[in-house]
Amino acid sequence: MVDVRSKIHEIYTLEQLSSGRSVIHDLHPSVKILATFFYIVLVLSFDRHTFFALTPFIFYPVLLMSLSDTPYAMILKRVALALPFSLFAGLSNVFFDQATMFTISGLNFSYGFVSLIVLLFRTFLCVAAVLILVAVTPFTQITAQMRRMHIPDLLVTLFEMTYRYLGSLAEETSVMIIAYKLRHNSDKGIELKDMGSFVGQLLLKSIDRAEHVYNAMKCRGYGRYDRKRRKRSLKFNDYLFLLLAIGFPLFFRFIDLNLLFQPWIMKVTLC
Amino acid sequence: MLKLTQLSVIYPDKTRAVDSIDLTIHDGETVALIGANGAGKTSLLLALVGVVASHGTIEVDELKLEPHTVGEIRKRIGVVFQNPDNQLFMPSIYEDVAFGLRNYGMAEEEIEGTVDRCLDQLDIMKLKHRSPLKLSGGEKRMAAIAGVLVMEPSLMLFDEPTAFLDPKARRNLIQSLQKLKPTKLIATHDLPFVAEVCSRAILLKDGKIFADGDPHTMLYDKKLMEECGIEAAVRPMEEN
Repeated sequence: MVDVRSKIHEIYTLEQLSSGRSVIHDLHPSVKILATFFYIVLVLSFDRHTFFALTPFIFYPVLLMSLSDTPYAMILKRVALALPFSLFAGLSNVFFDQATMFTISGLNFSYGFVSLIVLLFRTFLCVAAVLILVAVTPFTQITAQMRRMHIPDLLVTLFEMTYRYLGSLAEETSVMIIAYKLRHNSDKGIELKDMGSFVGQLLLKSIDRAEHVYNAMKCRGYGRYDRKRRKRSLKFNDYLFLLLAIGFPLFFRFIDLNLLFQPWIMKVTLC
Repeated sequence: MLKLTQLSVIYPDKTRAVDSIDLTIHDGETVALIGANGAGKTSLLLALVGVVASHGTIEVDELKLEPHTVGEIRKRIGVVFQNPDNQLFMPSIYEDVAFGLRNYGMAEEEIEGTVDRCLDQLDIMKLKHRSPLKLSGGEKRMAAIAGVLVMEPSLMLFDEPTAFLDPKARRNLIQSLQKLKPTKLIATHDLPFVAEVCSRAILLKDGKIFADGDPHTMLYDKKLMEECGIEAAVRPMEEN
């Protein structure tokens, strides 16, 4: 039960880093959002069997983490949570696509296996990019920027609320599980027969709680976004970052590193 | 100054939570709103900031609550909710206290200094980078007050501020409230707290004002209090 709370706390810990000070933190939020979006689009644009051409893209998260003093372990731990989903999604390729793509020291690597590795690598890069964005940009700035980018207000509000209610939901769940266990003669968790009413009550309580939270937000001016907020203009550092964050990935997108590795692979294959 | 004229709150199920209240609270007053459960205390507080729909007139410093003034009214009136967990939803206390300032357009460069001054005033600077999920009840209460106080409201509304507090946290809260400059309207059941903090008490019964006067005489009036379903306070002398 306490585990539910600590997991949610872990998510918010990452956001707490966003109030830090570094050259990356100081960049304009729109620049960071654009760079992340562009990076993800480029990573996803690669063919599912292209691995070597993707490898230079690792520099983006690594550079950003070091420049912003974001702890590597914190990001890696959270990225690791997303990898099993990709693993299950890509596992079937290994069985259905067994044609050999290349051989290293007598070991055959099938197209299916390579596509699984590429899928995992792409997941790693994309999730890491999003997590770094969260770690270097306050959540309020991200959503404010989304509004300025004319993303429908309803979507942004839903995004905000979902994110904020995670904590409340975890708190409610945690308290209910404790109360359940204290009156239940077993430590196995919630029995299936009680699950329906448990989830139903949780939903009703969460709605009630969500309403209270929303009222508290309104009382402190929520909903007045951007009407009065002073807009920050772009500075030289913002333009430079955008140029590098878009220029380098674009370069590596069109300069295929497979070609550089090709002679080496051929040589290994011949051995 | 807060001025209510014929204020009523009627819920969709026709319950009259607040019934034709006329009330004036002057600048600098600390007023207790006392009443049994269901007397209409919370409904009245929420109506003042337009969270609950109401009939009648609400004026804060001569500004009437209307759909187009609700933002300005909420800037002038700060609400500290009964359960601080409903109020603290940002990842850190700093972010939470800054929430209202950002909504009202304060520049980022000014926000940190303003938040720091407020945390310092309430003596909770040590909580600045802590997560609300990891605080004690008393710390959460003080952080929730900071989130409202930082906006420099002219009137602060408190809903059961001593709920969930241990004696030490309650004592700290009393000392902090006594130092706060804004006018205060405090809905509470905690009569000894009222005796210590408030200069005026309003007794609510069935959504109406039943009595309005000096808490030091009203709270100990057994007959009056029992008529409103409240147990009268015990004078400190009687306790011994």
